[in-house]
Amino acid sequence: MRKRGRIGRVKDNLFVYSLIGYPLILFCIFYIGINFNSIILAFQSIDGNGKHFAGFKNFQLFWKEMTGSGSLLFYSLINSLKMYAINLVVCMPLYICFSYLLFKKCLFNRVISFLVMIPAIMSGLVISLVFVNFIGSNGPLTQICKMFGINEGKWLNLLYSKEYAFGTTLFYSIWLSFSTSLLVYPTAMRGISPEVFESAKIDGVSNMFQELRYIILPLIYPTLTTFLVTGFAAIFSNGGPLMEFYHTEAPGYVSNMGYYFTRAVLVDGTEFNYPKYAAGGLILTVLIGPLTMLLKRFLEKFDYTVEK
Amino acid sequence: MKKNAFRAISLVMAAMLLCLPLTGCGGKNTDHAGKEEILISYYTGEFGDDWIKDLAEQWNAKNDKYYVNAKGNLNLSGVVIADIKSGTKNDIIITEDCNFGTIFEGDYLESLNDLLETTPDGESSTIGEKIMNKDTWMEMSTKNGTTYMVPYNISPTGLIFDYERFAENGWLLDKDGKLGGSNGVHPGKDGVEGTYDDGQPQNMGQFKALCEKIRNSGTEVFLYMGAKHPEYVSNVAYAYLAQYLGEEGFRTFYQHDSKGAEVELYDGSKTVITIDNGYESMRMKGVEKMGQFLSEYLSNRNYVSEATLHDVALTVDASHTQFLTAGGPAFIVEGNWFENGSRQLIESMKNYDPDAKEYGEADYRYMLVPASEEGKSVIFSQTGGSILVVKQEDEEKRAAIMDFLSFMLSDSSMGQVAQQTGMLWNYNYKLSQEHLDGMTKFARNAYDLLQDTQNVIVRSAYIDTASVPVHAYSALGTSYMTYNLSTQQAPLPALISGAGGDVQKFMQEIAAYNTADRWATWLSQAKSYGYYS
Repeated sequence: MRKRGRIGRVKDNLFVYSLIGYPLILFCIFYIGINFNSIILAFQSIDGNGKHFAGFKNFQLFWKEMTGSGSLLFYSLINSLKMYAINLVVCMPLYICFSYLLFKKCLFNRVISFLVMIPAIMSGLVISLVFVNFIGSNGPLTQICKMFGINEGKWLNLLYSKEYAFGTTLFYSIWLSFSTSLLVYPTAMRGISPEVFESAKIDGVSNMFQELRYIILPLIYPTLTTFLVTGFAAIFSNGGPLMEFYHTEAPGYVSNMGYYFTRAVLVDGTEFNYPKYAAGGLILTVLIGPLTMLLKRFLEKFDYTVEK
Repeated sequence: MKKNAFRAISLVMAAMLLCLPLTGCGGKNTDHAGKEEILISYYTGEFGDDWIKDLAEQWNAKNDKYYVNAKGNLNLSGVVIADIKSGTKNDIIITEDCNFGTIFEGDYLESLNDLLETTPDGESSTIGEKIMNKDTWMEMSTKNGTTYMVPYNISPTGLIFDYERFAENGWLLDKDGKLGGSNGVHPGKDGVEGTYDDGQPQNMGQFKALCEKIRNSGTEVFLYMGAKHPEYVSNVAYAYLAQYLGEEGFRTFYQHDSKGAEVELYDGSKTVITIDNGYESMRMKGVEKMGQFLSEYLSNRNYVSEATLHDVALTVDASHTQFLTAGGPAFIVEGNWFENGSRQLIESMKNYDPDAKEYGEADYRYMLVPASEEGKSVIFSQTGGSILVVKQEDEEKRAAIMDFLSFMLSDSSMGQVAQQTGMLWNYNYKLSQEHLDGMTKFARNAYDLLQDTQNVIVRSAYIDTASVPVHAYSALGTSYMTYNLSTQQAPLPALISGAGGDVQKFMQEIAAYNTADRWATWLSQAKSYGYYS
């Protein structure tokens, strides 16, 4: 049998090449190229004489600012960590409970599904505008406050008061992320074979809590770990809804790391600070990268769905 | 069969892949077949784009070889610099900013020296001679004898009020200095009755009394978009600071050099400010006074609502609607684009309120903040617009570009635009009677204010900072000061959100952020461009 030449193999795979060619070029330019450039930039300084090797100066600068109590960067770091912690401790159990109720086809489950899905269907900009106007000084929430005498009938300044601002942005993020969670978790739950539930009943699982605790959670564990690991990896890149609400004017006490970087590039008209931001990105990657891998390994140890 | 279909699809996709990068090349405008394009990138904003399209059309009709095509962009300085460095296809860039010193070297831009020497048809002054505050502009836009930028617009931004409403409510000063008094109307700083500054307070005591009188009448005093556009208020704050410090003091503040004189700082100490300890200028006594002014007036809950300070839902349209509605706030902090930007709104308000004024009918004016009775009044511009020409290969095209700019910067064209939109050019130019008659009352008042150089200085933070190397050639950038916790650009959110309204904390935050270390970095960046050596 005659061996097919290289041209022949290329002809055979022309369809595949043409399909992945363009995305691959974009990936090389906008991911590999940019990240490579960013790594080099982190060790440089920019001035009138061009770019120079700056050693670890940018890293020192960013670290000092990030760990210096009272700075914008410090607040951003703390808020990012708080966001993840609240997401982990409060939101994840909520997502699971709601998903379980939907899975069990609770009362009004279709209505709830529809309401929760609205933010996922509509444009993010429209949703943020609706939200901002709902809580605005002339919005429905203010009318409700007036009607029931909440806050002495005055406007609740939810986006700027130190008391509520962080909570409001957090609430908005959670509300938006509900749609994703309520899509993924019930789907994972529906993947469990009905025989498993029947067998569990025979073995003495008598109420919903037991079913959730002993059957559902262990069997959707891979989905849970996926959310935990991806959420952890994105701690410092998740900017939340700050850009939609405040554009570049967010008060320091609601800022987070994702927003800090986006805003810095928009507000900083000069390129002098880019090396500092590049170094900052690397520091955060160095911090979060290994921890993400460790977390993944740690969580995999408890995955009983995989035979060891 | 299946194999052939796959091959055909593969070929089409491969062809698309190869052709995709070419889609950016775009087609030529068929109305100008056979002519070569001169592409202008400009910031649209509230003045719209009809004015530049009209000018382009007029010039195109006379030119056989080239045509001007104008396209709107945001034109933020950082984006413009990146665009030019990466080989922009624009020929002319018109922006609201002038912080482009870092690309004066590198052969990116055309020299505009010959344009400055050009005298537009039928005029006696060259374009260079017409530039307002020419010395500052030339210092900022020239490197090694070559000028790379000419001015575009200037946009006075401050406390705008309806003169007729003030007269009806007795909120104007009479000749005896009494609010709502019976002895006519005070002629204002210019001493001439019937001009843009009639009936305005002459000192802070009178200004305070005016605010109290408005408040006691049940009217909200100030309206602005504190959440969406706090930078508008910066113009009022800096106008106060500039007047409080006086011309020399303000120069010390933004040039960071007291020329050997001692300067009082907010903690009562005195120091000589040189470029080496330039950060001390941010701790000057006047900066604290500016904080107090913001605290006492523009963030005082007696004069402004909580919504003005913080409501994100208070957009441009929402704030304009509030101001234009009968019984709305007395002042709106806005710029000279305000009326043109609200044209549709003003016209539609007639449908709801038969007494509402037509577009151009209301006598809107600027209230000058009387921080000091001495010296000239100061008003700040939200813009410091500039025009750049990208390096050209073809000498003939370059000449055509300069011809268009000469046409655009003629008194006649500038007058046409001023009449059409109310835009003010950063030039000394005379408007024809026809143009003056066609302008709205507000546009006319703004023009009169700009031209009254005997009594008023129109400053721009963009121009001031772009003319000082430690700002123009470092990460310090176009802000007079850098604040800590809040936005790094505007004093109002720094005071309210950053320092919780506490002026002392506001000053401490400024001092804490603008340290000797940070200053040394900014200074070394400026020095690397050959300054302060």
